[in-house]
Amino acid sequence: MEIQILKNGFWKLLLAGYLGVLSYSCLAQQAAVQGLVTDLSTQQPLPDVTVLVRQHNFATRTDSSGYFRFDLPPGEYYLAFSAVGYTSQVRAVMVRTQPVRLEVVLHKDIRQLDVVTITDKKPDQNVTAAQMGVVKLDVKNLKNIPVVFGEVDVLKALMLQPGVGTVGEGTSGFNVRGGRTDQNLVLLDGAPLFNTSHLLGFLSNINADLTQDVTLYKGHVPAAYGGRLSSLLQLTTLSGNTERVKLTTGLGLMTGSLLAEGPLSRDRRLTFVAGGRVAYPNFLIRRFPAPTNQNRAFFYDLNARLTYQLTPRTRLTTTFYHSYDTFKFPEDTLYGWRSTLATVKWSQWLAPQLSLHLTGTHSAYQFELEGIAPTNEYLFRSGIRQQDARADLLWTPHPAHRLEAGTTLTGYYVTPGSLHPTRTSSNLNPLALEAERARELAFYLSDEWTPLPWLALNAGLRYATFQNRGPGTAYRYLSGQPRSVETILDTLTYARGQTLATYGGWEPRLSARVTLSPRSSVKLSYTKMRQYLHLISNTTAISPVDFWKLSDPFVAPQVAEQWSVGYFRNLRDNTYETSLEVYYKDLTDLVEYQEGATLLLNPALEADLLPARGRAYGLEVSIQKSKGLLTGQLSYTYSRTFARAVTPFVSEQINQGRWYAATFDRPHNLALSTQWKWPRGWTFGANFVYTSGRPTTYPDGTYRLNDVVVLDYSQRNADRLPDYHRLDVAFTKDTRRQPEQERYTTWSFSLYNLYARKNPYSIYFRQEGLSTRSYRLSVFGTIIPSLSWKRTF
Amino acid sequence: MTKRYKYLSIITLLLAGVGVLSCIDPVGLPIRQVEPRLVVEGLITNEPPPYVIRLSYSGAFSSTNPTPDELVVQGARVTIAEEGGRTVTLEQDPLTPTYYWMRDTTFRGQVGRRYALRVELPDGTRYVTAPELLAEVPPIERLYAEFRQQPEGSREPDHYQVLLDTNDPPVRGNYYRWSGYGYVPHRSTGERLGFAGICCNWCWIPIYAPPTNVLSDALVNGNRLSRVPVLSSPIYTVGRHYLEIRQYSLSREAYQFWRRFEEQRQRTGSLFDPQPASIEGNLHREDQPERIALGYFGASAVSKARLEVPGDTLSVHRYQLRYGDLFTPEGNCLRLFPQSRLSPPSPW
Repeated sequence: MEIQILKNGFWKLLLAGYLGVLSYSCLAQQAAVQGLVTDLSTQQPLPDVTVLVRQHNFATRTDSSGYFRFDLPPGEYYLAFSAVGYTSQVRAVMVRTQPVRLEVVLHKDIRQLDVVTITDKKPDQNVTAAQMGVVKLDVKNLKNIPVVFGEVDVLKALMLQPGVGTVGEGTSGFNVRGGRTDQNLVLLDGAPLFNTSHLLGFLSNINADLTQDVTLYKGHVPAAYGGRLSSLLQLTTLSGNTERVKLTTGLGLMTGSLLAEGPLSRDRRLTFVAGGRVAYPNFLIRRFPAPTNQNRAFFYDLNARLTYQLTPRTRLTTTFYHSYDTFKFPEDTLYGWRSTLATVKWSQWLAPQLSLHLTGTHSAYQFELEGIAPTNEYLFRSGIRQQDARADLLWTPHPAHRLEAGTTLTGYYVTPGSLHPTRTSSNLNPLALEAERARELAFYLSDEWTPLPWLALNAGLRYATFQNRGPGTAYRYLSGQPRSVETILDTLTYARGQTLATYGGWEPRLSARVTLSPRSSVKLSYTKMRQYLHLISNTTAISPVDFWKLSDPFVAPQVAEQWSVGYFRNLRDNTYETSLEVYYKDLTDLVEYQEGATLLLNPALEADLLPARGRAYGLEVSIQKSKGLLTGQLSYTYSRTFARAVTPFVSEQINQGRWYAATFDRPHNLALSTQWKWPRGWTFGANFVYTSGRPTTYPDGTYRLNDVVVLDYSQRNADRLPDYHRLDVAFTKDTRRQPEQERYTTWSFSLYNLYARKNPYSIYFRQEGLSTRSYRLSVFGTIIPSLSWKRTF
Repeated sequence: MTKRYKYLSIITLLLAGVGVLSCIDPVGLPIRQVEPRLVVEGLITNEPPPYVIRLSYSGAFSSTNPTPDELVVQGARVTIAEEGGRTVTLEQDPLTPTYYWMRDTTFRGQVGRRYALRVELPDGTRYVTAPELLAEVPPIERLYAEFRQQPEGSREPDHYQVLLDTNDPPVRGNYYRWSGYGYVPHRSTGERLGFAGICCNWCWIPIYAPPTNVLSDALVNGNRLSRVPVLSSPIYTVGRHYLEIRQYSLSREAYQFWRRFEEQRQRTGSLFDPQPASIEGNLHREDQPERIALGYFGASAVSKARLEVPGDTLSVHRYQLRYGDLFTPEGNCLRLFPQSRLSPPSPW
């Protein structure tokens, strides 16, 4: 009996002890809180939702697939979920021993939806994120921003952000913090886009209706990406709703568009998005005075995306993009360019805190020029093809760490130019420049670490190695003399697979955030980038005739180092977000051109190129209001950028070897963009932009030669165009009464350049007889009204 | 090669157009004048002398004074030296002092030889060129003209497009330049001479081809160059056209010089224009090679051909019906058009 009791007691004791240990271990171990945040109307996962644990003043955000996870000791907590354009939600959570799983559905805030336009950072991310120099556009609200021709344009909206500029309106490409247009890595679903323009730059070829996220990294570029000096612009295609098939159609002055999205299978695991735009610019061109009205233009673009959720933890995504442009001059030439992008992405969640992403991308760009003038019939072609295979691992082993690691293998194939006569009557000989091939292998590792509540670090390291490979030839030049056709000593021939040149190195990416108070912080960042691909262009604005070139024995990769410091402060409960950022950039081995260089179809191109150094610095101040009926952003940027050709030979120097202002050096930039929500779905939007004129080269002497008076331009970029400023307004009417409304119409009416200023696009001089006259060319020299209509059903 | 630059200027046209509401306005900006630079212009050919070198300084020109005195290079010592041969001295023209003449008939450019120019200014500074090769030029095989009609309602006259055929030698590295001039008939109302009737309501006026029409054989090496447009001869009234075309050989440097010259002349203000720069020539200071004079001293072989367009395929009455008095200005034809002549040049 005693033994029995003893036995019982022993077991109880053992049990109690075991339970005690268990509960103790539970206490010490904390429990996981994880979940998925989705959008009520689209049923799509919501990335970048801020999850705030009120009691601990600890915050995290959902990843790209809407998941979040962190650990908490047992207790009762209030979790706040907030995202731009959505009504915030607070959930009470009881954390015990078991992991807590949450499913959070956020409602679109109908007022917010139409009010918030461009947001730099999430409400409290302005202060709390470790990164700096990041711009996120809220694409859904771009329609409230006034635009030219009524075409909602992601790139033109980016121009309103501090540190983003352009050489002139209606030109393609953009300049970030004093960088060149070819120094921006534009990734559409991970595949690089080599030309972002339609109609020679008047519009961008990114269809805003099909774009879900637009993120521009101006300073700290994540270690996962490299290959361009200035910035990374990440665009993602709409992920598609799973609820029902939805159609949206739109009409504007220039294009018509159609978008379809929805589930393809009954279980809604397979969803699609497809859409495109077709342009009818001839409608406008016919209204121009002769001879311009004889020109013909056409363009279209197509986007498609398929998402297949194989299991809750496995997702396969494929995207496709194609854009095509053509332009014809009467009886002369036909231009055409096209981009084709395709990606396949396999995402596997190996554990709630560990995911693996395998991606394959293909991007091809081709330019064609067809001459149709008699005896000069030809077809000129140039192009580039890039294929990437990448593996990325995301691991959050601890709430204070967010690790990313991965590798990328890239293959490049560049055809710099070929010319073929297209008729027997053509005087021309066929000519094809050698294709260039290269391989790039990169590895990276980065950690976002929050060791202390007031300190966050984002440390990344990337290593890339680039090999220009045969078959190919390289000339050997006489040393100690400027390179020219006359100083070629001999020609070296490389067989297939042989290496012509190898470059590469470490690229550290560091940033730190120090919290000064709950509402203010200071951030620091250092970034090093290398660029192996160069756009060869000696014109002020990039043109479709420009072509890409890989680094080779003569053209070293461009290298940039950027240091930046910023102060971030939010006021009035995050209603106002302010920031002040200062940066300095040092650039080496930029590609510069000798005076009078021949670029197209030049087999000894290196003889006409020069390496150059660059430096850029600036200050960006921004105040943003993202709550309330009146929202907007006011920013001021002071930025300078200079270049200097590096050559030991006097005859090759530019401006006697001194520093000169780069073509896109525009010191003062002021941008104000506001949206004001009126009753009954009306929104009033206004932009005001003020920018210093860009540098230009005016003649500084005249002389007589060949019986004509000739202008001499001895100093590059010594002059400056007059300042640029412009006011635009837009009125938008959204017929939605509720956020969930399925059928609705949007009307947009905008007035571009409201006070019809003749902003100088360029000033040029012409010799007319003996007198020199100067002219100002304005591209949009008057007020431009436009109207567009969009219907969703 | 100039073709390529045409692509760029074509884009300008588009830009000016697509910007629906784009506009071009004159803005009267003054031209800065940096310190004057020496400007040289001259050519030695395989044709008999005289050869002329023009020397001047860069500076402001005005419509009232095409050659201001301060831009004339006075009293320079100018010589042309044949490599391994003679050196000749040029004489300044007393009436047009920017011209320095070489009139020695025993000195003549020869194909395959190199020639260098040397200029010593009165203050002692010396400018020299590297020896310039006088390369061979193929003959003009055929010179012909085609009638081109303007679209209805145009205020420009119809014209004869003058075309030439020539054979590019099989060796790579031939460069060409074409020049041309001619006399075409023109009407005016004439001048009343009392009882003697009306004088000079018809004359032959000079016309010139574009000054820098150059071509490299880089894309056409060894081919027959056919239908190269060299001159467009305007038809102000029906009559004979007397035209001459000269085909020059160029060195590679000279070709590049003229290509840049033309590129600069055709600047249109588009952002697709190449960056402007000084057109650096081949004359530089002897003691400071980085100080380069403007202009070019070239050596060219010349082949030439003449063409007489009868103009009898056109109907005078129809032409007058179409254009009316559009090309019949008021006054004495000889006074209206400088260097015009009453009788056709003959023999042509």
